[in-house]
Amino acid sequence: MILSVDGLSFSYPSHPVLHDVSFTIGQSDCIAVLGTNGTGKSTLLKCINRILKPKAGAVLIDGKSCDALSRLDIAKNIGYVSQYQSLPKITVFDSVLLGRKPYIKWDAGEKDLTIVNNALKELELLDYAMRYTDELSGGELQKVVIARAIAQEPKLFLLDEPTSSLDIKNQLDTISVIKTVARKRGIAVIVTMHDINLALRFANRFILMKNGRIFGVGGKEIITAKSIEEIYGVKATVYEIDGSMIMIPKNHEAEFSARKEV
Amino acid sequence: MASAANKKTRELYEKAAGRKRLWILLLFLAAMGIAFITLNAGASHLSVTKVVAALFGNGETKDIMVVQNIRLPRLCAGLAAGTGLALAGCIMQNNLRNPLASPSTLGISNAAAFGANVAIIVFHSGSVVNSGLGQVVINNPYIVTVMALCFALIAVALILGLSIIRKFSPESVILAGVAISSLFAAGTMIIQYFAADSTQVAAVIFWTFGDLGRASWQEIAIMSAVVAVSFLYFMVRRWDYNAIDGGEDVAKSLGVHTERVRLGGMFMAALIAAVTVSFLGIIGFIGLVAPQITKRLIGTDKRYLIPASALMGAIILLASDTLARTIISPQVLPVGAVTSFLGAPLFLYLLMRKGGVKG
Ligand SMILES: Nc1ncnc2c1ncn2[C@@H]1O[C@H](COP(=O)(O)OP(=O)(O)O)[C@@H](O)[C@H]1O
Ligand SMILES: [Mg+2]
Repeated sequence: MILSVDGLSFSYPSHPVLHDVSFTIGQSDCIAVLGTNGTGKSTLLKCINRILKPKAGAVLIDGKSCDALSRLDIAKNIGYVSQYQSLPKITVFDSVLLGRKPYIKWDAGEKDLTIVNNALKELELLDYAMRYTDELSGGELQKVVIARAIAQEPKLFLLDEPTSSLDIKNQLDTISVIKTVARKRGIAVIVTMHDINLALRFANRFILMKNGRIFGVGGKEIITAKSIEEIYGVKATVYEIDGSMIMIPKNHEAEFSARKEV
Repeated sequence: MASAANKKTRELYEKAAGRKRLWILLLFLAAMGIAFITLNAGASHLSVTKVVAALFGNGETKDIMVVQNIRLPRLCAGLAAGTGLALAGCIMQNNLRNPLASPSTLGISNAAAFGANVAIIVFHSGSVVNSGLGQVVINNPYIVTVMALCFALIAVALILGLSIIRKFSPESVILAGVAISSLFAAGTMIIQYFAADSTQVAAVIFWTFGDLGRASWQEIAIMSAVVAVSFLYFMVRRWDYNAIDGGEDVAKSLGVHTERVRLGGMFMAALIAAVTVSFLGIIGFIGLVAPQITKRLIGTDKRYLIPASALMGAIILLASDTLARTIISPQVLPVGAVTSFLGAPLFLYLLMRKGGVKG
């Protein structure tokens, strides 16, 4: 176990968002957090790495309470990719170098530069290294931010909708890069997603959230027609095809009686 | 193959960094060049050799007097104030994530001026002597400075409070600054309106026109110390500032105590602004424009932007002061006006030139 969240609650000044959220995540787990817009997925991620201070409950990293850790220590343990990117206008290399911030005392050393280089290589960004961030596409930008999180050398990634702004190819590429890196380095991942099918491909565990509460935690088996209807209010069918699961929302008028492959 | 690509990337990175260091070197040389020109410009026409000799205490007593007691302090005041104001603007723009932030747009200059008004008019810390020349003497510069500093910090506290507690958008912070600015301007007006002694009002108005020739060596030393300490502090924090450029959440996730860093940055920046304004009067526009011009030359990376902005500020202020003293010599224009005349067209040009150099 590397992280456990215990009885976490959080309120914005105007209204409560998270209620008594608890779960644990192990070494090579990849957890997908699913839930409707506004249910508190982003808020949950921000509470985990202390961008927001929870109202109640505890977050433990390797058994140590986040309260007892300094911001720098948290940053060395948790790499975060936010839902919305606003990168400063610096080069890709320098953007990724920012991931070394928690480690840099006075100036970036040889080790930092090497780590940045490797992160760039891992995401096939070497050719873009000297480009400025305002000269990149959405997908490339997303990769830069992920590379920055990799350069942080964390034990846990918090990824807030890392694929939402990407086309289907970039979604799959990004997901597979994250997965490869995470597996290779034993980094645990908590990712929020809207695409249930992508989540099914990517994650081995799932957290279903509804109205700021945990509705269910578990493996693929908790993604059922029933739970999807409970969470999203959408009727769907979940098929198992060749061992992998696929969710297809139901057409309101017609069942798929005349299904044919195209 | 892969290692060749690695090596190439590293080389490119080093090259880009080298280019930025070269920019800083060039700006440094330019600042030194202008400093030398400043030293040689003035109402009493001295040759370069005489100036250099006088600098080292050789030559006619009159020349030594002019160079060591008038021109050198003026130069040093210009260097300290130019670098200081540019640094203050640079940090404010970063901390508030707003390109319009500067000591004057945030109301800090006006607040400091208000404090000076209170000190001079209410506490009688200044008066006009040799009123024919309009020479302003601040009888008690420490009261003026302390008052200016206090009110500058009040303005900063208001702005920081509003932006942190109420989670103001950047535009709102600037609007709040404008509101605070006009509040203090109004306060100043009322104090001046009810001043019993009109020579005090004259003193204050002369005081308000920025003038590099006003500061004593002691004041220059204080100013330089504040600027030097702030510069070191800002450089220590340069990675934090880069992270803050990426947004609040990202900065926090990279281990930056954003509130603390902001508070420290804004405090130091305000301190510079307050000390500068209280010793020299209001010198506007440099804090706004010097970092912006520099950003367009070398980019936003604070590792390079902080020192380069400081040099740019010194260059603009010294050039403005030299122009102010020579253009209709022996008449001297207020340097604050000339900084705008010089900085604004340059800035507009860089704004219109799309994209700018990124080097
Ligand atoms: N900064 C904020 N201030 C107040 N309320 C917020 C803020 N950010 C999000 N919220 C509210 O908190 C709830 C959860 O938001 P969020 O965590 O972003 O949801 P999700 O990521 O699941 O879409 C929403 O109702 C949203 O309106
Ligand atoms: Mg969200």
